Amino acid sequence: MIEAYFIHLAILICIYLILAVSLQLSIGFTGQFNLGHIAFFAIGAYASALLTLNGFPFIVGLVAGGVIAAVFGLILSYPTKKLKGDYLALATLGFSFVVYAILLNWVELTRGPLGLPGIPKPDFFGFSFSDNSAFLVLSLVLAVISYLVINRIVSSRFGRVLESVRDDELASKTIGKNSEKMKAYSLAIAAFFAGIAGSLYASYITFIDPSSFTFLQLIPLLLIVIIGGLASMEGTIIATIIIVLLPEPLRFIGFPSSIVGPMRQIIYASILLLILMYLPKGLFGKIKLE
Amino acid sequence: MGEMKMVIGVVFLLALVIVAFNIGASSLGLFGYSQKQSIKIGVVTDLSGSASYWGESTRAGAELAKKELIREGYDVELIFEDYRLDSKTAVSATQKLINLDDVDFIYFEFSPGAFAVSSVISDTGVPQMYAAVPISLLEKEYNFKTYVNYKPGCESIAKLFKEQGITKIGVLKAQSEFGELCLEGVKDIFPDAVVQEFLPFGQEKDLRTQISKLKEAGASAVINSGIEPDSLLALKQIKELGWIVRYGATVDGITDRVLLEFPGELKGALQFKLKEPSPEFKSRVDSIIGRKASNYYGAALAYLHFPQIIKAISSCPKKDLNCITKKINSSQADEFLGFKGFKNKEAMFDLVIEEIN
Repeated sequence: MIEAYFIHLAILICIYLILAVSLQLSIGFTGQFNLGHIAFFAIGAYASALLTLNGFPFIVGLVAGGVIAAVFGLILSYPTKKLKGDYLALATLGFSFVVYAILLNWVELTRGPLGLPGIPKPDFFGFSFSDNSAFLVLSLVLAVISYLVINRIVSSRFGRVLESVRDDELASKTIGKNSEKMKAYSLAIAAFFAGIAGSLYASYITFIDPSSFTFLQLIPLLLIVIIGGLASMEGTIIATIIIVLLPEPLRFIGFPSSIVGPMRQIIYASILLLILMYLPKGLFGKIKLE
Repeated sequence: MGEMKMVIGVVFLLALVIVAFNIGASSLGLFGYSQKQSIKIGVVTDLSGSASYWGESTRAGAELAKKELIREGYDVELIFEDYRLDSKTAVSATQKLINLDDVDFIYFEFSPGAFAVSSVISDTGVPQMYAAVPISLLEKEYNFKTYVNYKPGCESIAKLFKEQGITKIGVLKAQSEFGELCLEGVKDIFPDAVVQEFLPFGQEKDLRTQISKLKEAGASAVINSGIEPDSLLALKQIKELGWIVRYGATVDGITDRVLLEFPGELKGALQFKLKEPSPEFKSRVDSIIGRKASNYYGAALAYLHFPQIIKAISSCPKKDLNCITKKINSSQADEFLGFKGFKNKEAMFDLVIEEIN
């Protein structure tokens, strides 16, 4: 029985790892202060859920979730191509609010606040992933693939160009690099993997509604990137495990029922604050957070 | 810096030790884990989020019921989990309750979380009672539902408004299933009701536009399907606009706090609710919380249902879900809260319409 609980946590770690490494590509390696990542996660989740609820196989939902999110990433990169820092953060944050408002108000498509219940568990070439152990294998495979692909990207020539854009965009333009195009590709790739994570999330929880994709849900993701360290892939893995698992031990501390809710929140927030205070560059940060 | 890293390392080590300790205790049967004798109920609610005013009340009612059940000789253990209306947290909390705490029953509050955990619960065969409005979850075999039905509730206040001469009504519709149900009820009486939507549970920070539009449309009464924070916001804006309008609210829309803050705006207001718990019950809830509760229905529902659940579980063979379902379904009607019994796993109540003067 204990295994079932840990399998559930491992599945969450895999989903968050895909989300976090893709956000790391955008924030850590390209220097885009992208606060719209949760919107790509939502797009992937809804695209996949709507397709699978309408009889399409999971693989179609998974790929479509990623591709549609990537297309939105490309679209978002166009009006934001000249923006940097806080301005880019505000624009991408605005994008996530727009997506949230659409999910909430396009009732005919998304059922609005009622959400989409009964999303089928994945079925892959005749093999069902309805059992959590099997789902963990699927999540693990997708998380490893995502990690390896993004790791490959950041260590390739393209990745080095992204880092040069992050460190000094003007200099990279001077040596003939099309920084806007590079940033657009980076955002689209990050969005693709966020969409994949969304698809996985929808089929695991089997119910999604707009409240699952609010700005508040972005905070743990940003924490993973910051605590892991900007531009650190290894740090992202460790930070994902920490952030997903950290609330769990707190469930076992036998607080009286009158303070159980607030006390857990206070301890959780205090631990995170301690980390951020004493490790401002994160666990394995290569660049400083500005 | 090295020392700081060590401090943080120690904090995480401690966290790991707590988990290891608990798992160890669990497998060894220490400290009340495993080798269970008692009936364990997992209570999943909002204890630190926007609906914590309700969750806190539920906690008090559950503790009150537990005390009485222990006095009657039942061995009861309650395990509270806080999920702040977040689906993912709800699933984690439920997994922990089922797989580590080995609970016999789960009492769950609020709809988004109830939907998210329903597949987890049905996969593991643990019966659940959810205190929320949606009726679709009743399709799951061992799910019970409690709480008022918003459709007849809103229909009743709309009907009374009509009888009292209101010709045009505005609806502040919460963007949720309970908002939909309330609107359906109102539209049965006023098919041309003017509708403005908002995000419930205090997520909306300003209802000025919605209220102004209802005023402009010429509504002479407004029914708000939201809860306490939504009522506070709506009434604040009605007051600021100086709009004289009849107000209608759901069971948890007009609380003592709302009454205290907007006595003028609430004159002639209508509210559908469950039968009021007794003053004696309220004072017992207050004494558990340590101050005056802002809501008593959460407490009253838990206080009503926990004995039904515990008695059903203790009178059935272990994990005989059909027996437990049958027993809970045949729970006797009770004067308390106007409970009329279960009908197809849904708790039925007498609705009370109250006019505030």
